[in-house]
Amino acid sequence: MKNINPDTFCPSLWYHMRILPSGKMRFCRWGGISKQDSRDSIKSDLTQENFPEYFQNEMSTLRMDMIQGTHIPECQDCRLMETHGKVSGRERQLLKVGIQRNNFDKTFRSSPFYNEFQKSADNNGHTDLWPQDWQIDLGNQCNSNCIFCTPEYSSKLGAELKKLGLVNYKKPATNWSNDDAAVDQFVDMLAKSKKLAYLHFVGGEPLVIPGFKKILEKLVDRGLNKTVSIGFTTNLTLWDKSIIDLLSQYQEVNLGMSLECFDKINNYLRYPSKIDHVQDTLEKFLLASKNKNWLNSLRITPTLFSVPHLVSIYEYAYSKNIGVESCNFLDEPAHMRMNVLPMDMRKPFADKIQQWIDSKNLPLTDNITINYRDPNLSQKGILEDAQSYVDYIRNAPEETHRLPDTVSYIKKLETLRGNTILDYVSPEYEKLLRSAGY
Amino acid sequence: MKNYYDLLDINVKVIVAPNDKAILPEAIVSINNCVLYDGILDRAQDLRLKVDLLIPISIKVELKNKKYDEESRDNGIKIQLLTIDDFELIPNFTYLAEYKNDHNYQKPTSMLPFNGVWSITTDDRPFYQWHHIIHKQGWLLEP
Repeated sequence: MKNINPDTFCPSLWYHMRILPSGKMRFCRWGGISKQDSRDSIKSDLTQENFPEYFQNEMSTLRMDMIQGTHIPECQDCRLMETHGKVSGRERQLLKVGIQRNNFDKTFRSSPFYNEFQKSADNNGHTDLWPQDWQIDLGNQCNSNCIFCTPEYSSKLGAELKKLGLVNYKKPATNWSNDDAAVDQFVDMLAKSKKLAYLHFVGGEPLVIPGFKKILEKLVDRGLNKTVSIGFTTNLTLWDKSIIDLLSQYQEVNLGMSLECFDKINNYLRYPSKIDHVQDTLEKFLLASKNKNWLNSLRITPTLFSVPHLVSIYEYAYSKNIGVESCNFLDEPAHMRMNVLPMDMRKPFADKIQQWIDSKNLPLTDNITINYRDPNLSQKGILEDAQSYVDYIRNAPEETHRLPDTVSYIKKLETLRGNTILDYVSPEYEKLLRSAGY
Repeated sequence: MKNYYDLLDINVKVIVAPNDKAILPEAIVSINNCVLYDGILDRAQDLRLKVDLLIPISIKVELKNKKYDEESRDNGIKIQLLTIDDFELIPNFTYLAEYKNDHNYQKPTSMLPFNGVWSITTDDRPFYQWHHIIHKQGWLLEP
């Protein structure tokens, strides 16, 4: 293992797996929907027989690429995050096996997984391990039509786009977790896994996907609730006491709550939710969380429309000592990226966030806080996350050429929704959108 | 080109000093059972040892033969510094040390006024795994 590259090596391939809404498997939770799918599992069913084959053998090429320091195209989102000082998925995964970026050599050699890396290096990338850390995309069934989402993750948005002729498929993406046999097989496989540590569920919206509750119940039946940590991300539009009670039986719950800001534009972005209702649900979740000692984080997906209001989220989280997370700098849909805005518009937004950071008088160091889920580090983590957005907003290359796509897209959606972006944005935005054909 | 087969060293550094220069303490300092100092501590001693990266680390400082009379009241050992690589254990992690002494004094301290052994260990783990845990860096998955 002479070619390990500290700037690209990611240990995730030795302990992490993701199930896509279709039931196919992918090697990384940060490998977004726009990424190549050529390296997903070939078989789509979650049978016990084919599962180890993908993780242990089909992923061998990727592991060898990682060991040999070869550039892996699917890792581009993490590289972008690190460029702007945002804690990347790679850094989070390094930390879970005790490897620190700023002291790579010694911590890599000291990692409990070092011998497994070595074994794979000697066996063409093969591993005998099973995943311990899962992201489970339950399916695309969702009660929201977030404007920056995609049909693969929102059935309602998919239906709209189909009506508008913007997508062309005969049937929407499947929800593997609606198949009881697949759920049973999956839980059987989890029960056989050694050292299973974490299961993070996303949708769609987990609270409307029946498979979520089914899996939670089956894991309790197997006693895995006593040893496994659960995480899930919800859109704060629903409250299901039976699921809250079920989650209470788990030893650790990581609760991710999605919203963009506390401005009314959240209604437009996370259509058809209403910010007042979202806030009420947020407070309910926070109360439940406090009583049950869950770990909380606000999940944001900053876009060109929410960037003026980012401080509202950071301030709320800071005051309540809740983490703020975003999976990456939004990549797809490209016409929703923050850097679609021209530089002169972006600068005041960056300045506003910077002023907010400075107002906290909490020194930031070069040692980025990575374990931001530790409540003792939440505030520092929030400031560091905000700082990474300042860097991105100031420096990401301008992509104003996408503005006509942005305008075209929102105009079409507005014909179905009967709303207009102009009710939610400043005159400066209106001028910009008009210039692009709104 | 790196070769991770080669073990990397860790630098352990301890500075101990007498608390009262009028009455000098008798001290034994060891790292992983390697005795670096054994005798009357007449001045600050800068003691260092390189240990293999993957070996658990145990540091012991012992005060012995102290008399509990008025004259020897301030006799003791001060642990002025304890670092492993660039990581300072004192004062932030003093609470992780064990202090077995003849007065059953239990509070975290780096000043040893009683006959006994002050020790800190990496809990049978390589230092950097222990470092991860004491810094509350979250899960440390094991295969």
